[in-house]
Amino acid sequence: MSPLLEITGLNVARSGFEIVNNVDLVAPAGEVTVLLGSNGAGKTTLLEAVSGVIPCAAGSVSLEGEYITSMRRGKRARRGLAHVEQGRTVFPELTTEENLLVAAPKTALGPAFDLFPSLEKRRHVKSGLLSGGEQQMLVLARAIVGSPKMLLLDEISLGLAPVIIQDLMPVVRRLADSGIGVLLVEQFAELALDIGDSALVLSRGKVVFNGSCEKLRSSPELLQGAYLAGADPEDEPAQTGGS
Amino acid sequence: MLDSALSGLPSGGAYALVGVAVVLLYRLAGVMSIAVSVFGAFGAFVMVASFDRGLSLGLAVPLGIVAGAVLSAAMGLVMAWLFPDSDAITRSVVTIGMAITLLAVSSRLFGDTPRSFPPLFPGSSFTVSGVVVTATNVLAVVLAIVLAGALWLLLHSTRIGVRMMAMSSRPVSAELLGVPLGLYTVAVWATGGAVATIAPILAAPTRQADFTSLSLLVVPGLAAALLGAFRSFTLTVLAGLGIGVLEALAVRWEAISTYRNALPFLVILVVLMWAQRAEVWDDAR
Ligand SMILES: Nc1ncnc2c1ncn2[C@@H]1O[C@H](COP(=O)(O)OP(=O)(O)OP(=O)(O)O)[C@@H](O)[C@H]1O
Ligand SMILES: [Mg+2]
Repeated sequence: MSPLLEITGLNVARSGFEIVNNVDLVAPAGEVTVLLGSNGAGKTTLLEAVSGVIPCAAGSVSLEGEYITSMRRGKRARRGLAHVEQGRTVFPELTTEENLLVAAPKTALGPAFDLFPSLEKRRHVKSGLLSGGEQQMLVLARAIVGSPKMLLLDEISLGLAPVIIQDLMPVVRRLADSGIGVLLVEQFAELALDIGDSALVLSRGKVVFNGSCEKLRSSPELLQGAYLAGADPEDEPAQTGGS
Repeated sequence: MLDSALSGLPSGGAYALVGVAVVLLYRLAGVMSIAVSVFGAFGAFVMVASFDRGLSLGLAVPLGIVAGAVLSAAMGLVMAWLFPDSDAITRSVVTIGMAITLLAVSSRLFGDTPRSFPPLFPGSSFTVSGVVVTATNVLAVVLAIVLAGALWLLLHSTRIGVRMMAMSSRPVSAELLGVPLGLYTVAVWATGGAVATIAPILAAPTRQADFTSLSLLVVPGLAAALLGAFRSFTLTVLAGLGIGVLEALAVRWEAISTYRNALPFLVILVVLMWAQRAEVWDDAR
């Protein structure tokens, strides 16, 4: 049987710069695959190419054995691919409930409030007025109610208090345990490695480590090496700021 | 006095409807669409042409509305296919190009001479305390309110409406959640085209009705949309009806009646100046 998400030889360019370079990646169902790398390594770019936000320059992406490399975004979503973008992309003028309704009909919203009971109280509040933590829960819940098979999570911990992040990670684990495949991009490497199964480290668009989370956790020098490689000032692609 | 105020209602209703179409396309398709009233004029001319060829009014009117909607939907299709990720300026320029092309094509097709449009309810009127109210006057007000109300309800209390608002707020994020952007864009344009076709059909019997003047209904329509801050259907409808009534009243004063067509411009100018001074427009946007 083919793996849930399979990426082969993927190249992605932005404004003529090659940002992701010949990446191979397999993310099975029921597992958390952790994707690490320094700022600007190309993690967001990789996820965006998988969900179709930006086109791939070369290589292929397949979901359950079906090529989705040039499929339209909406169609990929309807095939079971959910992408929680970096930066808490709520629809600010819509309420919490309306945000969820974008992804699923009213009868299917239950799981969202089971997962994050605190959202229930904020049901009819405009999502632009929610706290950062609540907004992050909302975008995660919004992806879940569409009952995805594969979940791409881009720095869901960004800008959140440590206690909230510590609550969020077990939720990710539970989602994987329920059979969903998760590709998790995370700044807090240790927290992610604690709940993850396998891990990849990206440095300047290339995969420099691919193995188990356990292995990466037990050899901090490996991790540090990867991050340092990314911080090499020489011939680094132009930092345009913001991702 | 009241008589002439009421005589402005059919035009006012038309301005309101064009304004509603403009607001709809601005909010949901992210386009400042000058073209929409050209589609409307086209639909209205399809209606009058088929009526002149012997089709009954009851069939000619829906046919015209469908024609306007289809033309507008085609514009939506062009937008969804060729300019899905373009910014508002690019898309607005495309619609202006489309409007100019269609104006040229239509003047060949329908000629530049004014046509006489059939009134929707010939002759029916009643008198309320000495003031004559025609069925067309009532229809203009009712249609503007009912259509705007229906659109408001669609947006605020159906799942499709919520998804459409999400699409206008963050198209990429909405699409990642499975919202069919192309389909919805075409639907929004079709609806805008239909509403914008009802406007000239309503107003044409009471005013100069050549293709260009009907297309220019977009000017008072824009004024009404502006007064609604390009958001509020309620304010847009009130503003449209108000401009129509003001225009009709202006006929009574010899000194200004020749300039009354400039009234919408004046409204636009005053609103923009006031908005700039008061800076109240930021949160409306
Ligand atoms: N629109 C763009 N045009 C050109 N280059 C871009 C663009 N967006 C991002 N980049 C560049 O692509 C590279 C990778 O960016 P990306 O956002 O994928 O990194 P990231 O690993 O997600 O980083 P972060 O941890 O900061 O989110 C960076 O060098 C960035 O400057
Ligand atoms: Mg990133």
